[in-house]
Amino acid sequence: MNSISQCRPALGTYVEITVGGDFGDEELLRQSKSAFREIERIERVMSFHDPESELSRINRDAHQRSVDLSKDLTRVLEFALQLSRETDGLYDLCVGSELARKGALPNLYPDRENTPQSWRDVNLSGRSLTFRQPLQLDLGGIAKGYAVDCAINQFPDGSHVCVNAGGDLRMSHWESEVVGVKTPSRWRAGRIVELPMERPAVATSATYYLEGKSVILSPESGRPIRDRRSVSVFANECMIADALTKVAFLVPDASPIFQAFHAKAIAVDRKGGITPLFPQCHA
Amino acid sequence: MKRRSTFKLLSWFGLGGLMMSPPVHAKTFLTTSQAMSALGAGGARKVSATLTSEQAKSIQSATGVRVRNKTLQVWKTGSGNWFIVDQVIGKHENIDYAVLLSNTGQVRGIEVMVYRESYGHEIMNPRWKAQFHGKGPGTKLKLDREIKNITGATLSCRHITEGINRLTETWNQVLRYL
Repeated sequence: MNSISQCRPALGTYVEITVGGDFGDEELLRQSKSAFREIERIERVMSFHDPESELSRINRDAHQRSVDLSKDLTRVLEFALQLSRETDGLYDLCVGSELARKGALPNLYPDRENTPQSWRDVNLSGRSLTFRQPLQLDLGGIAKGYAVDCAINQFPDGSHVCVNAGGDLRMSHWESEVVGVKTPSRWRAGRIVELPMERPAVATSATYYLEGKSVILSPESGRPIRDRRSVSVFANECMIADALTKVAFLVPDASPIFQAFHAKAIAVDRKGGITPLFPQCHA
Repeated sequence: MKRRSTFKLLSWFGLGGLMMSPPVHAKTFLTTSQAMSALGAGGARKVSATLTSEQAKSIQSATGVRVRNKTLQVWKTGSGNWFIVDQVIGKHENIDYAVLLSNTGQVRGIEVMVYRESYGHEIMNPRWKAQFHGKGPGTKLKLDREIKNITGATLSCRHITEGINRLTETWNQVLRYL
């Protein structure tokens, strides 16, 4: 079997696509390039930084009038709102304004009032979206995973594919594969611990992201949370894995949610120690 | 800086005799000719180009990005696009990449060719490795084998963005006149 690996900067990180099959380089590159185009398309829809993205348009307009959403944004927002409901708001996409004030995201609307915002202000009905007050949704913790899912769906059935967007990754043939998890370290390159792939997709989050300034905020205090461990979540879809890494940090007993999504969370500490987190066994 | 030298000192005393360089995880993607065809620059012709010290200084001050290498690896296509192979060096990573600039200096595409990332020294310490033995099935440390897929908190692609800024400025000051 021939295989080819391609890597491009996208989604603010490095995206690697490895594809194998009984084809020549040219055909494999063609498939891989069409998957990259799909990732770039999702980036154009969901970028917080791009003022022309669909996400930026809803952040600008949805408090004034109802906005029709694309299929992609509908899918991501439906899932995010479902998580907000099930975690009673501990997981919340409305963190964008707060992150913008902290300088982790560009502040596009410095004039808007600093009022408390939550997922309850988001009204999604079918594909139609309205905000009950001006909001800045941020898909930073979910869109990358969704883009990986979309990219992998571009390949013909039976292809051997792995798409890795800066650690949010999904494989077509994952059953006997392993993944290397970087141990969390702020100061220097981490170590590598190997875990078996437990589902087709995995994502890892840590609070040392952004040179030590965490972008996972505690809903209670609004302050960045501090945890010396990283959390890897295995799930059937990369979007689910990506979003549930935040749930694992934020929700004290997330076991029912992990069970509902057939997902597993594993913590890795600085010394490479491994602790299964969710779902907890109650044997 | 201080932290790093303290660590070095510690490793002299604590891990005596283990002063190997940190392991580097290198991942090779496309070769130069594959990158060339992936970016639609097949058949481009190599052009020899070296920056003068003045040019290097000027590019550096226009972009705020250090020019490490004055010898450019550049190819020009029939339509006046430039295929450039370059390297960026970050704190932990070292990347060879190719970029295609249009004949007006616009970025048309980027392909990473080799991505090298270093990991901590500890992984080489047998005592440190030993503590992981018997951790359970499937849960073992990366020792010698290459791990293909790595997850961790997302790396930013800031360094490559800086490299691209340096190259578009290099086009602006030098390549467009060649």
